[in-house]
Amino acid sequence: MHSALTESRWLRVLLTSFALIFLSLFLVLPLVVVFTEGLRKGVEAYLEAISTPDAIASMKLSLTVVALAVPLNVVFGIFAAWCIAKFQFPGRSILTSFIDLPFSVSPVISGLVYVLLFGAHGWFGTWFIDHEIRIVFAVPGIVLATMFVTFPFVARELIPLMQQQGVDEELAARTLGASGWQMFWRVTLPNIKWALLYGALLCSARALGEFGAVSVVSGHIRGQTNTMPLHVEILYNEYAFSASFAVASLLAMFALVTLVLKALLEWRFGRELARR
Amino acid sequence: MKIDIQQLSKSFDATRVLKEINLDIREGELCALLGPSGSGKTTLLRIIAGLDFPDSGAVLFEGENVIRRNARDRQVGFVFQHYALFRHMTVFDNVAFGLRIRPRATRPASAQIRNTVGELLDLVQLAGYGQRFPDQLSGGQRQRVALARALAIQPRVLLLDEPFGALDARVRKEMRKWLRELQQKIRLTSVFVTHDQDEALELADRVAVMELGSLVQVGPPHEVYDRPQSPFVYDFLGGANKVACRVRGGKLIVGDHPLAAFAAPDDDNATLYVRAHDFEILPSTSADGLPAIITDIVLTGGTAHITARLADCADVTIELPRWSLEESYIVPGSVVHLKPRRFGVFGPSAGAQTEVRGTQRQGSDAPVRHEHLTLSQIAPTA
Repeated sequence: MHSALTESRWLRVLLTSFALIFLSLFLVLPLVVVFTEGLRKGVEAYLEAISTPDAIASMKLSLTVVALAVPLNVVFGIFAAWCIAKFQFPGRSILTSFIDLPFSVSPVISGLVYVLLFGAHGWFGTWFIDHEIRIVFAVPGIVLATMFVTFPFVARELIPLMQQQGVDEELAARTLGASGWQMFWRVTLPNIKWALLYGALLCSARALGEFGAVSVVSGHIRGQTNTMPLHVEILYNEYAFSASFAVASLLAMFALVTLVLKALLEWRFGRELARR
Repeated sequence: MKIDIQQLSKSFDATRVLKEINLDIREGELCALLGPSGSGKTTLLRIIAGLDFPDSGAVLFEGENVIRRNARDRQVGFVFQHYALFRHMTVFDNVAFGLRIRPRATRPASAQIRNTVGELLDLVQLAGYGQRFPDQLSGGQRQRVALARALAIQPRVLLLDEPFGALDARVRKEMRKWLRELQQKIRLTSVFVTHDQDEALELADRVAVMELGSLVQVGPPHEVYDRPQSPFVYDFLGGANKVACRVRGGKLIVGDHPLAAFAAPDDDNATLYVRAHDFEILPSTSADGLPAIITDIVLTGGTAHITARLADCADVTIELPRWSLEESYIVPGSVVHLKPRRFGVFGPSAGAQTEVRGTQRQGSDAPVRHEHLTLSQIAPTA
């Protein structure tokens, strides 16, 4: 094929190798380092490092946070996307920009906001302390901070799709006698399910790896408020490099699984989108 | 079912999209809401369906005001302009939807649902398509699935929003004929919205013409077409040539030529409306008609589109069957006499904004045979 876009052979080879070298250096190499460093002292040391009580506690906490933050963000994400995509109301564009706020604000700032709101000297802090509810330096704070940081993933994924689909199918369901719930479960949700899954997946990956915001609100109490990324940092700061990389390798593995699932979804989701 | 629409008004922000609409839709009839875009016809249809709500006024189904009931409880069959089929469901599931979501007490058994859906697919000539998805169907087929889905709930009224708007010309014609036959078979009170006058005239039992949120004329198709009560209707249905004219001493005068006897008060600023196919072209030796010179002739299929220039330089378009060109005097450059067989005369027309007020008088039958005269008196806005 001699199209106008066909460049000379050498240029193509040059560009392709440049891209490959770049990818290897910046993406593949760090990944390899994580695993080799983690296994430097042998498999036994690796297994020991990831089975210390503190490590296990950090995994449990991280998974708990994901298990709480992701479903909540799925619900809020659907709600926000629904409002924005299917209704016209004053302040709609402002709401749309607000959804992007967590992307533009540094996670450390997001964490600080929660400390300022719910900390001992925060706006609502005293009320919660009076009622013996701990938010900052406890699990609720970590979940809140994680939710804030990962909020846009679901909504961002849904809004364009819902806007494109419009409201006609929902209205048709109404005229056919569907209740609000029936309309949502039988028409809206099936139409967005792949995009929703995709958004939830990205959201989970980000929630598991969140460091900045969580670091500020966590308080770093070992075995209690340390998530996996925080645990990695602590181990590293204590010169337990192997153990630190071992735990980091678990995070990396989760990232890889996410990547594969994402690719699968894109393959599947792409066909769903093509079905129109 | 009979539908009464009473004093219906609706505004979006500052724009009044419906102005005190009154319309009766009779049992079993097929009624067309005809108007250009922005005339409020779709809003009116959506209000009947309960998908939109008016600011004031009432919609009565068999005498019962349903304005407080939402779409879910009105039992209307609504066919959307772009069909709005559930894209993730098969044709069968689409049609079965309205039955399956019923509360358990009134939901038919699944065998019964299968039968009903089968019958409906037969009715819309889509038997055997049940397992397809909407994206595997042509536009006309999707349209029919949407219709079957709407009919599945045994609606009290069928509402169709621009039902043929998204189809290509050939399919549109077939679908029109098919829908007309179907409606006559099931005799379901139906209302459809269209901006296509041919569609309205061909399909409907009655046509309601809308302009800028007002209902300007309602009647059987031939009546609305033959006796337009306003310049807008004259122009919108069939298109019309507009020629400045005067009414003086019981005569209609164009330029210096008296055209016909016309029983109406004197008016120096009237406009003569004549549809392209209502002109007759006579040789210049004729005593009748207005002198004009033929400037152009374009043929499309069996129709000749003739442009002629009147003495006062106004161009008019005339449509004649192609065989009429056999007359030797109908050639470009030839001087002829144009005689309107049917026409309307209206007072000063200021475009669509003109408010038609005062009494409207049907012109008395003029001595010229087949002629129908209409006069609208326009009271100048004080």
